[in-house]
Amino acid sequence: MLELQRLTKRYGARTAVSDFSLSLKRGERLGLLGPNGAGKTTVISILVGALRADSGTVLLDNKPLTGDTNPLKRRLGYVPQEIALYEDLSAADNLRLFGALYGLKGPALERRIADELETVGLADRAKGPVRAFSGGMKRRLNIAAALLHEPELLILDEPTVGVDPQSRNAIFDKIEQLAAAGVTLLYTTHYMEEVERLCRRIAIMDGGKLLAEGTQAELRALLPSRASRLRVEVAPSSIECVNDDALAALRALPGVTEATAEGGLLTVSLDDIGARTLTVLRTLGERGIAYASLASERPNLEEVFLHLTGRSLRDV
Amino acid sequence: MNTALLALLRNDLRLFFSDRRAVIITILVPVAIASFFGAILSGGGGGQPQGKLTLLVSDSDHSPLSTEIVANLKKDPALSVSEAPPPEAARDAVKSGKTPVALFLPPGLGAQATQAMFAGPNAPRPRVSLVYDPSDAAEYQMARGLVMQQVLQVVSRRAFSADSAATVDQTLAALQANRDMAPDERAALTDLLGGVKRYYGRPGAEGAGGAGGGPSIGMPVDFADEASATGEKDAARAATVGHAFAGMAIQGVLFFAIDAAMGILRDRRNGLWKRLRAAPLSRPTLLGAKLAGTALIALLILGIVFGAGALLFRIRITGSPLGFALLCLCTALMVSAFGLLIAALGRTEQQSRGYAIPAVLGMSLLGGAWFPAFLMPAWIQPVSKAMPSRWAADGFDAMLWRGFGLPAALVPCAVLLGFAAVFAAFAFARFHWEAE
Repeated sequence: MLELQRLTKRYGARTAVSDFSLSLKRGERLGLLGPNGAGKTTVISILVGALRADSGTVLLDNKPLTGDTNPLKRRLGYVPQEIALYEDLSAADNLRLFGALYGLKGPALERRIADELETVGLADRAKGPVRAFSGGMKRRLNIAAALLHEPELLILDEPTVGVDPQSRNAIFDKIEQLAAAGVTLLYTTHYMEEVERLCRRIAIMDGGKLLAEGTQAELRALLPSRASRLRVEVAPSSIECVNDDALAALRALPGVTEATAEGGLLTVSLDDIGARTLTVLRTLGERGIAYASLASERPNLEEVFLHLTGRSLRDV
Repeated sequence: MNTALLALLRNDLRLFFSDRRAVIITILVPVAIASFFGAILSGGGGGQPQGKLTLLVSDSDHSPLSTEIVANLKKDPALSVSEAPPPEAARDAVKSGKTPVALFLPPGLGAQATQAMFAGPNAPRPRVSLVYDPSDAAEYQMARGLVMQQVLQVVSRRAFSADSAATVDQTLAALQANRDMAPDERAALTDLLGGVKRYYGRPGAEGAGGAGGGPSIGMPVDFADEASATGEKDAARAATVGHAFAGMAIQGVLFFAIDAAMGILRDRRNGLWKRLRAAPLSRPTLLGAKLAGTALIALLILGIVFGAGALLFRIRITGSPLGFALLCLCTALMVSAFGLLIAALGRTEQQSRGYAIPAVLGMSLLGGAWFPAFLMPAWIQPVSKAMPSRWAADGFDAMLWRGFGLPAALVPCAVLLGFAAVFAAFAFARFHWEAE
């Protein structure tokens, strides 16, 4: 359905997006994962026509998506990263404008406004000024504004930034409903949990480049075959022994890619859980750290990103 | 008009009216400033005008007396006197605002003025006229005082000079023949003129009047004041208040243009511009809607400010109502395009506000929004004409209180539309369409 072919965008000497290609099939849910500044928003801005690429092409159903008034743009719905709403206007007035921009009018527009406000749980706040909404309510309205014209492809650029967990779940539910209804989704975020939950296919980008793409299983397969995480619940009597020195000692062990501590929980990333676990436990014992329980975990996308870039998603 | 453009236009109007406090401030500020200027300047006394006062003189007499009056006026350090032989030319120069006051010395002034001094209160007097631009009462009052002083001095000096002895004899004879005058009044004037005759007859009286003037007897001429604007009883007041409201209305809409520009830049910062660019909208639709929305609101502000002037200060359109309406429309379009230009030239709100505020203040000052442009030094005049606000102010003056017809509005309208086209073209060319 959608093809981004060799997109490049430069700002002076800085290359924001470099030779970036990606494709998306109808009905697919693709997550574009990368840290802040990776170039995700630049890619999205080029895709929706707000920004012109220095080179490369965007195709929708094999037709170039170029030109301000290209009718193909009506098939896209775009949720910007910012809360792109008129704060002084009511929720309904905002939707009235954005619906009209896509050619909706009259009773059909009013019906769509009522439907969308209902599905995002804002029907009772239709006439209230957006200024008075909570952050979560604004985020939901921000999504509703992109759905009025019932797009086939919905592009969501970090739609949950600054949202409380309750609103985040409401947004996830809405996105899952849309996906179930057959809407194709392109979802950008720097939260791996979000793409793990919402997306079947994931593209990882950093420094303006596409690093890897595939299903979660395919991406994990990029890691050494036995890579995993060891979670150690430290015995209460030895929590005080878990300090920076202990973590440094763990990180210095061969095959340990990361070691973190949070409260009484130690998380150690290993390239081979079978071969390295004993060494880790011996080191803990030498430092007087007793453990109450042990568990191993499959690696997540954080490890994949770390493996691909040498940096943590959260550190960037 | 397409649905999207209408929706954007409606949205801009909704946004403007959604902040009631801002609406009130936008409209009240120009009304309040105009009322302040109108109230302090329409009292007639005003302040002393800056620099030399320009006076146009039309001498239709060409007698030694009128020539001396003109020569003395030219010597007056407070005046800059130029002559305009045809009275119509002088009258037109005042009406069009090119000069604030014109003096008309009628034919026969020299022959009649000295006789009129002693001819009693009911005798006919030559009529010296002053036509003035009512937009500046202070200039007119000053000019009137200086002209009266010179006319009285010259006529008195000539009346009491030795050359005038014959005039006194003629006046005494006419006095004796005048049966309409009360006997006691005639006796008093005869005594007085007898004294004057003895004064001329005293030894060494030759040329006595030439040294510094003698005592004057009464007004030798009638002074007729005439405001150049038509149809107003209190023309000076109407002009002052009319100009104040026109000026502040223009300044008010120019400041509103800054607000409109800030709105566009705010939309860019908030991601709204990106959302608008993602919609299937042409660039002319996007900017056209902004242009039309800002122009409509500017038109509304102009209407309310002038309406307030009509209610509070009874300003009236003494010229062409159609011309006035066209000027409002063209001014609104000009400020709207100016707003787009501000938005196009700056990347951030702070940046744009930084140069837009001085630009608006400069346009208001140099364009004559604060006080009539002809009061400014000559070297500023060409600069002033390069300001769209000058054309708007001149046009509103012509329609409100100078009493000109529709043709007088057409040139300012054309110039304002020209400015609007140039601003819009620059804005369109320089606009930052891309949004990341």
